[in-house]
Amino acid sequence: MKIENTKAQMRKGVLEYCILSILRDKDKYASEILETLKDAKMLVVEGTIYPLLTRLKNAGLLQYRWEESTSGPPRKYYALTDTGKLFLNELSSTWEELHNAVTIVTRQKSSDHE
Amino acid sequence: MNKTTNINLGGLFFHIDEDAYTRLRDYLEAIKRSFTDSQGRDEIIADIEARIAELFSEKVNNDRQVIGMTEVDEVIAIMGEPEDYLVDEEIFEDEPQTQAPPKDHHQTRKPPKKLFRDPDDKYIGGVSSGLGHYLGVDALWIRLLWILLVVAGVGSGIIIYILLWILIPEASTTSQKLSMKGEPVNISNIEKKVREGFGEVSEKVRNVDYQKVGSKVKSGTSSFFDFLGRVMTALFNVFGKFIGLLLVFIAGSTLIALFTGLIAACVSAFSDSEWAHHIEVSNISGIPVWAIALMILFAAGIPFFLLFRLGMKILVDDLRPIGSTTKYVLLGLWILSTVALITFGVRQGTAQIYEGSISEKQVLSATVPDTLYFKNEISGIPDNRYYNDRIDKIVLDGSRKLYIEDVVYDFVPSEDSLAFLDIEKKAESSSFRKAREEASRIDYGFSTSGNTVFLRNYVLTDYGNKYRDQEAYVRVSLPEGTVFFIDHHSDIRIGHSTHEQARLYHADLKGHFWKMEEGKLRCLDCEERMDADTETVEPHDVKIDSEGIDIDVQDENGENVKVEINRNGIRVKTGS
Repeated sequence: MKIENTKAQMRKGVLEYCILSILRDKDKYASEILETLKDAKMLVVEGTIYPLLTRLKNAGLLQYRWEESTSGPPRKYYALTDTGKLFLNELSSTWEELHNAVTIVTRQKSSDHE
Repeated sequence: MNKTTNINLGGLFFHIDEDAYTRLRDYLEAIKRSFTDSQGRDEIIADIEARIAELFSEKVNNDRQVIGMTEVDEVIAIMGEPEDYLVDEEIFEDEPQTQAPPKDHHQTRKPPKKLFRDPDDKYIGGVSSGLGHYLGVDALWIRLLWILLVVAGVGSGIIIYILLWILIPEASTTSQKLSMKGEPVNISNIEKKVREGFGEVSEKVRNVDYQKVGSKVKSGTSSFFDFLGRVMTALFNVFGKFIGLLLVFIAGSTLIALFTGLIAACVSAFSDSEWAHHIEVSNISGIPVWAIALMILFAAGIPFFLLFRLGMKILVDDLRPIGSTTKYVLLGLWILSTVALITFGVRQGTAQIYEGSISEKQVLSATVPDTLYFKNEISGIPDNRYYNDRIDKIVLDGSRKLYIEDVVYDFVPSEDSLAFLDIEKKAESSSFRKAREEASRIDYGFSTSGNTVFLRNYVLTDYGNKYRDQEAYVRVSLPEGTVFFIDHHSDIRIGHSTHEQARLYHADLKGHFWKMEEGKLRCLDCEERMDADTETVEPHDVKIDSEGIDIDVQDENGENVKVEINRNGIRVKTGS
């Protein structure tokens, strides 16, 4: 079992959740999403976001539109679809539960050790 | 000084150093390879290119600045090495099929292997090693199998080898080499492969003495065969269409012939034609002829159909491929009919392995006349006979009988004063019991009228009993002193032992009067050339001719020695 795989797997579900969350209130283009993720240290390298975005789009959770940019070629602006919104809500509650569960479990463990 | 190139990346224009350009291109290619079309490869690459362009434009201060190796390396560091994409790919592997059951993410399925020729491990064309990779066997065994096939198959292996050489593509790219070995085609594997290649080269340089002999032989043959291969490819291109045409023609005409055969066989099942009866009567397997024809059509026709397809494929580039269902149906039909044909062959073959016979004794006549005349029985012969080499004749009059001209007669001395016939009926079948049953179904008979005996030269059996080598052997036992005469024109086959005796007289049995005397046959009206007691021959006579050696010498005392060596053996006689 590789630690990289486990880490990546842990990141995977959360990464989708994060991307959807970033787009919750405002449509953004890829570089903006990247910036937010990198600031939060969610991403190590940038490239991996693109397959993920395409995947989410193919799954019908995201949609995009082209928007002219002042500083270069047109940009792809991503937005949540209705399904994506539902998906995000579901993920939010799951995350809450998971977070609680993990907190309880890890705390118990640390108290055992003491 | 560096040469630069201009590129359009994500809609933006850049000057870029040649080496940096190569690095960037390889990087993008490597990423491209890690995605499949279904994942939206082009879209992902376009997005990545757009992002790289964005990063570049942040790095260049003005339009005149050239992108160098440093910038490219920095951007790659930000974007991630190809391996990083790979890790994510493995994790998301189950994503495209949203309804698929959850899979274990750790286990990456082994992709299906593809059949390629292996150019790295070859003696001739790399067919064996390619097959070895495909079947997961060491290529050595396959090579041994080839040798066996060439030796045992009278060279047919060579033709098969050349065909495979032509048909199987060579694994020339790294990804082809990977799918040849069944390893997933991804960047880290490709890189591993490339590194292996370098490793091998350096290894070879180091072990040059070790491998000198082996590799010399190998490279000698393979470079020769490489050349040959190129020549063949060129020829194949030139004559490709011709070969395709030939394949289509040959396979097509074979298929037509097979279909015609099937139709003919089906028609024959309901017809009354001559050859249909010959087939029907020889077919003792119990499987109807039309079914056998159908099986032959499938067993032989399907491979020819595939050949036909191959020819069409050569001629027409965008031939619609056969659906996998059709493929499996064809394969299934082929296997089924081949197995059925083998079963049929075994049944047909084993249906005649045991010979059974039954014997009966019939008294010819209680009071034996002085002279017996043997003639053919003609009255009972049915009119409607067809000739066939194996089953001498088939009778198809109202009684639908099988008529087989296979009766042998021997004339032997009787142990008592009665003249009788020992009739042995024989037939072949899959067991002794069945063979005897078949033998008992044989209809043989004779009739007498005065001192004339009418003998049949044929046996009859019901049409439904089929041809099972039915025959009869009849020993005509005649009491001492009986004289008999076999009609000149009779079609009676005389057995070996009777012939042996008759040859003493250099005469045919037929057309002469023979007498049963002291347990032997004596000719009454033959030219008596060999009767030692009565023969008057000149003394001191040595005669060697085609008949044998005949020595007859006499000394002064009047004692003579006679030596005869001929086909009847050696006879020595001395006396005065």
